[in-house]
Amino acid sequence: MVRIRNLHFGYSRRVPLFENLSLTLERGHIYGLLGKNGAGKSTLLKNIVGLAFPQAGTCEVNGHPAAARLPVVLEDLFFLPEELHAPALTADQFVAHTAGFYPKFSEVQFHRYLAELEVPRQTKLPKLSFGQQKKFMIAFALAANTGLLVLDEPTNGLDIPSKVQFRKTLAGALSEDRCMIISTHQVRDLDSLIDTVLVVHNREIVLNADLDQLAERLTFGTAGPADTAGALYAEPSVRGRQVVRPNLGGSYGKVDLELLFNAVAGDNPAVVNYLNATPARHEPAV
Amino acid sequence: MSQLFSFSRFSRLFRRHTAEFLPSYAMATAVLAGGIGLVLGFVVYMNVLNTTIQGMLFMLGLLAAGALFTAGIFAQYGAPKQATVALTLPASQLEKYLVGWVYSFLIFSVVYTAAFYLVDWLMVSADDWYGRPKELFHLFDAQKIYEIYFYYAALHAGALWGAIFFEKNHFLKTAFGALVLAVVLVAANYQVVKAFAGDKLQMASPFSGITLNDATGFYRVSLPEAQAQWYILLPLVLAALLWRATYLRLTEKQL
Repeated sequence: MVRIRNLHFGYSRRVPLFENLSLTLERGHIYGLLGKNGAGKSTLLKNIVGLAFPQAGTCEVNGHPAAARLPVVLEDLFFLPEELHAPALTADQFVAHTAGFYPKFSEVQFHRYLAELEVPRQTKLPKLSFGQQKKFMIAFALAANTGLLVLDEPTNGLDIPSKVQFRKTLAGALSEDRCMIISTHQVRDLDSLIDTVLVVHNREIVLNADLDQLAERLTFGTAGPADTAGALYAEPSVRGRQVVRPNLGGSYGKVDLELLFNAVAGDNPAVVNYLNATPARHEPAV
Repeated sequence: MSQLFSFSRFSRLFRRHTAEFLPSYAMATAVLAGGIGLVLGFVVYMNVLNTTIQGMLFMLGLLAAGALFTAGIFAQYGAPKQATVALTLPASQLEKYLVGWVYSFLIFSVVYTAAFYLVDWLMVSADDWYGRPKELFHLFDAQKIYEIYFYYAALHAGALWGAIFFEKNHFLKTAFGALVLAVVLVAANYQVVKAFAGDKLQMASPFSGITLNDATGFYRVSLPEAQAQWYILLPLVLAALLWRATYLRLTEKQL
């Protein structure tokens, strides 16, 4: 679906944001793209949807260069940016004038999603609150049934019940034909939603791993002050030291995304080195 | 389906653009008609609105209002939130470009001409011509007022390029750039012609004859009339180049 090879990009030639970045995203997955502020999450998404052009390397969607912004690519792609623009139309007017661009758009699904997310249909979009506008666009994005759905910080501006509903709705919308990428710095919002985690750090993808594989290879837990032997990573918390260890016992636990992210995006490369020692899905630079 | 242009995709995009911007375009048309009414009304109050004045005001208004309107036609590509939607909407870049072009050139020309004639007719009807027969100016008579559309094409192309090149204050920045370019062009043209003609050169402006001054007095050197009439194609060539440059700029637009 998305194939990035040796991507170099930076808003200034002297300060590269990505160097030699390679990544493949497949249908049938929900990817969580994590990174610190300024790591380049949104910029990577812009390269994928053709809003930013690689300085070197390639970024292809369905075999076409994303930067060409061909209709055949765009009609199978929906990008929901962090900052939304809501035209001065009602929900029904917006659908009447926009749905036709997406061949697989389903009005039935759209109305169902709107109902699930509790968004009114008759109000002009700019009159809705930011959270309501966001939920409206999420409903439209899902109903467009595009093969590639790219969501940049989709939970920003949503209240807690809406975040829960968002996770349910999104999980229900995944199919074998669909690839979803969700970028966020609010790691907990992706809990129980994504199946693959991508971490962008230091100008490259430092982690591209299936959560099931991570659960097989790592354990996450709390340890006493003197019980961090063998830990790949440890950090203090109010409950004691949170640690990441190699999963030597073969037990299958839940991946603590926040702890994993801190372990991978910090200064200590032990977790990344451990995972790369027996590479699974992470693609080194080509 | 062609990835460059599809009529059904273009018409869908055109309808969407119309639905989103029609209220503001309608308001702009009302302001335009009001502005024309104010200017023509002032002339009627002060003087007789004869056909020469009508024609002159028509031309000035077309250039001024057209440049102002066109400079903002791609404003959505300057604001990141709107540009994200506009650039990722499933239509080709040519179709997106053409929607702006059709609105700012074709539709604007028609709406402006209709609005001017309507207001002009009202004003001339209200004017007192002291018993002489009243008449409206003609686009296609010997004054060749229709040629202003050729110059509007060049101005439109420049404003359209500024509309996509600059992210805000499109009109001011484009006008300033055009002014600087015009000064540089006139000065450079004068120096180049002077290098050929020597100190006897009196006046030389781009794409026109030159005036010389020597012991015999002033005299003018210019192309024969039959060839000089091709100058009218110059703004069209310039327009074509700038329209093409604008389209390429749109395809290169990044956020």
